[in-house]
Amino acid sequence: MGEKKPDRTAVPDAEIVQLVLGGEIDAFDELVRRTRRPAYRLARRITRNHEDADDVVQDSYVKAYRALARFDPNRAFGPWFLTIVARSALSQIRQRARRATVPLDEPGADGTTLAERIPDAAMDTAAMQRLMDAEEALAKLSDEQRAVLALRVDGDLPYGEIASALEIPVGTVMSRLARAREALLEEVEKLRAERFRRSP
Amino acid sequence: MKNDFQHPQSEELFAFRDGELLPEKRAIIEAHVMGCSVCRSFIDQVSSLEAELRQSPDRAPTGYLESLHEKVRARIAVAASEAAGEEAPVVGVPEGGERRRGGVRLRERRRDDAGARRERGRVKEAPVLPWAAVLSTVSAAAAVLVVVAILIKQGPYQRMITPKVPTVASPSAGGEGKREGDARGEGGVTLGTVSDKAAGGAPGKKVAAGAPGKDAGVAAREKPAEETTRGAAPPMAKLDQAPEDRLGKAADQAAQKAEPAPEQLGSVNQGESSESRERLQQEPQASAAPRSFARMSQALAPGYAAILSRFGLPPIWNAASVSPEALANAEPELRSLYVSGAAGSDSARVRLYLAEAVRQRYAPGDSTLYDEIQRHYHRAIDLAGTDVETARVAEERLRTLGK
Repeated sequence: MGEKKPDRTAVPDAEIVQLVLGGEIDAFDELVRRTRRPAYRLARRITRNHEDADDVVQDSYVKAYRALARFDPNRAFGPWFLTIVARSALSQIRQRARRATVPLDEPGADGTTLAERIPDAAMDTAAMQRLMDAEEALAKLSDEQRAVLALRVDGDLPYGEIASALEIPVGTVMSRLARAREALLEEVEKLRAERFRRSP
Repeated sequence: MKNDFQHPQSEELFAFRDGELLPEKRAIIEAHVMGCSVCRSFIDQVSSLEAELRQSPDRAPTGYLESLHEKVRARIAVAASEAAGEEAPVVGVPEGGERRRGGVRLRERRRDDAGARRERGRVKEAPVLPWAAVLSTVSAAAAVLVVVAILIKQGPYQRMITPKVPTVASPSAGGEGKREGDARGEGGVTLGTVSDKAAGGAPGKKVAAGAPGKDAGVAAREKPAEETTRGAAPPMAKLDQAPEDRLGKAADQAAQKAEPAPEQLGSVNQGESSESRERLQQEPQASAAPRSFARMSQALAPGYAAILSRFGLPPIWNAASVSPEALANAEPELRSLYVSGAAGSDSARVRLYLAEAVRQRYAPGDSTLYDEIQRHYHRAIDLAGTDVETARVAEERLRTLGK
């Protein structure tokens, strides 16, 4: 008979970290469970493809595990971990910078295109179109702009955390985020204007 | 007043909206925004866009997030063993701690036996569950049964055995595998890789709970279908849809090395006609083809084949026939191919090439490149599936990667 896995869903992050540091490595599972979705989302947003995002997420967990002793127990694990994900993702896209440009609507891991991946049964056509515009506009931003925006939008991180993740001053976060938002808005307006022009 | 008609910088507007301004500045910007429809509209538009982005689906392949635990566990186990250093005294226990779980020594021994990629004596284990001992024993028993069954099938004993049992290993390995799977299912989670190397499975992956009931024959029947889909299915999709049964896979791989081609096993196991059974008995050796060779002879993904041809590379990396220059030149194209998803069933081979390409630039102490190389090797092993040659090369190369 094996041991039953303890339910740690209500255990605070800091206690789980202590468990892991104390040798209960399987407690790390709970940290993964709590953070996997935003981590993947952030990684995917920055890297723009599943394979790289998967690498980034896995690497980030290993890095977090190695750095766990330096984790501040007064902080939540999630934001701390997302900064690791962001750094890893940026590193990943810098490494691939010399590759050919990845097309916006690259096939996903499941072979589907962006248009096929986004639809949601609960979403009406207009909302879906707006979402696709936003995604397409986001994809046109520079890697740095997309990263800072992803950290703010998907990671919901404060400026200080973003600065830490990207290793830039808070003032740079402010200006980069502002440029990213302006560019996003401009791209969306262009897309909508173009569609309006082409519509019968 | 003039200031009333000057819009704040967008940095300030967004910082205000994000609640990042100091109180004094905040009051100033707030006063402006309250009276300026242009700024309010600007903020609203951006907020609306961001809300839409937040609503967008994760786009993770089905089952990916759920399977992430296992991949992370395997990576963490390796990291833990590396962090332990050469003389890790007691595994998974804090200094001065009293906890010691049964099976630690068994587990260490199993790893030693496996001669897996983790180096001898450098094991800092994840907490080990008691059923690990059972698993070890059953695993060994299954391996013995596989070997015995192979001998029976190929040797003179075959004629003495009823022809109703022409397959090898299936019943015994499957039976044992089932018990292991059950034990694991009850046991829950382990972080280490369990005798994966010894069993012939790819390292770095935990044996999936529940699945090991599959016998070698069933696995053999399923593999060709899986391979058929691999050409179209991208690498992660394959990983995601297959919670790997490493014990089942071990038996499967053992069967690959000594047994007839998969289609023969498949027909035998499915209660084939006596005619085909006779055919199999009469000419088992003539048509015996390990699946690895079958895989090697399959058509390559067009993009992969084109790159190999352009740079004069063999289908699977090997030190003897790949020049550093050709590898360096091919690397960007191999990366593009992989990212585009066009590598298809050759994704593992592409990752192996990428590992070697990065390794050419690697100097000891460069932890970034070290991590990247490791990642490529691990992924090559994970993606290899029935391509045992690629998995073998990746494992060997991973073992020789010095930090």
